[in-house]
Amino acid sequence: MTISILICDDSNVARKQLQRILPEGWAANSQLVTNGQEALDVIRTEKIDLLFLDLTMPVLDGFSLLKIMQSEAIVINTIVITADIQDEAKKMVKAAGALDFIRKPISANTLMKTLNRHKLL
Amino acid sequence: MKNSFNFTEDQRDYLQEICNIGMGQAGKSLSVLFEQYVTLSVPSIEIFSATNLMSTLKRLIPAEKISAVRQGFYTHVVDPNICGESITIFSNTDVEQLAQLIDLNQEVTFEMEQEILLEISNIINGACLSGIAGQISERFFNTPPSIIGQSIIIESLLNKEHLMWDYALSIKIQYSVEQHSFQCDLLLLMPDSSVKYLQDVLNRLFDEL
Repeated sequence: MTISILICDDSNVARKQLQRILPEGWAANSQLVTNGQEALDVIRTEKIDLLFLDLTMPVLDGFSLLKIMQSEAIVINTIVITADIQDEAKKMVKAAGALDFIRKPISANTLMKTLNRHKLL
Repeated sequence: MKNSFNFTEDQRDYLQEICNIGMGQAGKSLSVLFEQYVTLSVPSIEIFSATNLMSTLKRLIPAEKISAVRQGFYTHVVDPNICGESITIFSNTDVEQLAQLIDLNQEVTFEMEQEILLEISNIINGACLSGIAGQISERFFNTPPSIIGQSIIIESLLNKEHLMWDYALSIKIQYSVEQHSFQCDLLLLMPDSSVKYLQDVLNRLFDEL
């Protein structure tokens, strides 16, 4: 099964770290964007199955993107990966429709557990 | 000054992400202190030679008055891989507002202001260094924080001791809590040997990506 993935993070390092630990074959189907606005442009025009989303980004942050997705009824499995590890941030993204919340830096083990938990593998 | 100083784009990217993680940890600690959600901004970093410390600081921190706290850090007592001095610089900060956020129901005296600055600086510095340490597989020890000055002009921030360091890493951070926001800069002053060590670690980490 081919799964289309969008990785949205302003950090080149974070994008590479995530791509490196994606399940085999997934990296080839992943698109990389650097802020919420770029992500919005993609998800408005293309079918994306899974969105990995950072929160603190320039131009349009992850919270705002999730709110826009809600208001436009864009439904995509979204996993937030962030350095903003406050409990309130976790509550806010869950309320805004994100599937899960992972703190940076992400490990392969945590990613696999999260994908399994949501039956995304 | 030696010519080893020049971070590559890859080293800088990695360092930026490491600092981002450290700042997120600091944000969490501050949210516990304030009992409120703390909005984080994207931290920006700059690395420069300590010979240009004053002119660079004046450009980075245009505030009329600052308050600053210093703290030493090191990985080992003898021959540390990384050591230096961190300075947390608060720009135009209304300490009474911070006291309200911490919910201190008492008069904010000069001594109380000092305690608030020391506490917040300790949290930011500790979380940032802990974030960096975790990423580069080191552990930092800190000396106790001390106040350099309250509501002082930036020119009186540094003394000859500070200018003995080779390099400075500045991390600009902005936190907002409800209608209050406060901005601070974390300055990590390090010798050439520590910066070289850090660059080697960053190279290794980037190669592993």
